[in-house]
Amino acid sequence: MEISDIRPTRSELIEIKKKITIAKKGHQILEMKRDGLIHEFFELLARAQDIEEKLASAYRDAEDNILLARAVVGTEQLKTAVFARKESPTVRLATKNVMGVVLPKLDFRFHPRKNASDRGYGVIDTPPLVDEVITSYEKLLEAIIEAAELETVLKKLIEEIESTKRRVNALNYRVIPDLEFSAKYISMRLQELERENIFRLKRIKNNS
Amino acid sequence: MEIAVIGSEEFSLGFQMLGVKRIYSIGKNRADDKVRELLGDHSVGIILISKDYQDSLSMRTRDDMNRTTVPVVVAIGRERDESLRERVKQVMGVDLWS
Repeated sequence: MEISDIRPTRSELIEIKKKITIAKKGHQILEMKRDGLIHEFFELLARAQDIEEKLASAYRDAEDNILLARAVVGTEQLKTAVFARKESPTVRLATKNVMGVVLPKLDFRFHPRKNASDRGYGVIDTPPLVDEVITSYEKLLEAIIEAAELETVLKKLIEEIESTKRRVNALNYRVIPDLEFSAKYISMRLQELERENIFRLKRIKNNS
Repeated sequence: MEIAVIGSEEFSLGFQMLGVKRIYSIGKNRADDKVRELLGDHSVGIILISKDYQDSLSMRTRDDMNRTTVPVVVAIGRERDESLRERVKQVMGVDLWS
């Protein structure tokens, strides 16, 4: 705020003092929120690292199985399993609230893991390698859902931590110092006006 | 919400076998447009993309992918995905991954 924008009046001083109190209270609350979010974030971080590794390993298994199946039974045989599958796996998105941050919760609507007899193809004329491929991909999809949910939660928390940090810093280094400067300027200006007034009154008294 | 898969035919075949319907076996050069299109599609809950396709995306799309929470974009490859680690490093200022 420019000095020329500040009105040196008593009402403005009262108004600014109120704003300082609110800003300090807000700063304290936001600091608590930031610390709470960071605490929540750290609790999830170790799990996220495990899940990422689990996902990569599930993918390696699934890819190895499908490469082997393609080499042994051929792509066409694998594609017949595609046509046999009737249901499509879908996910349901629910939400939960952590310190005002809406976090997603992912869940399967149609669970992909099936018994061999429910997969839609004949058990007798289908090579076991196809079964193995599907089982490993079912495991992979489960790992994906778990990773997707946790990744989203972490992303949301990071975003919220970032914006809360920015707000805390803005209040701490910009808003509160600016308001305090304005309050100090107004009270100094008011004291000056008071001194001028006393001086003026004394002069009038001496002249009369 | 549906699951969408972007990657080569080899990458998507396994997911097709699970019954995933939204399969986009396209070239790497068209992956950027497809990801942007799917990011705006509210019927998609999860976008699965192969790691090598993710590496070919523009910085802007990758940044949008990292910030978007619905749909969730999951990059899968033989190695673990480093995008979340990078974002944490950017926000926290330190590398918290062990």
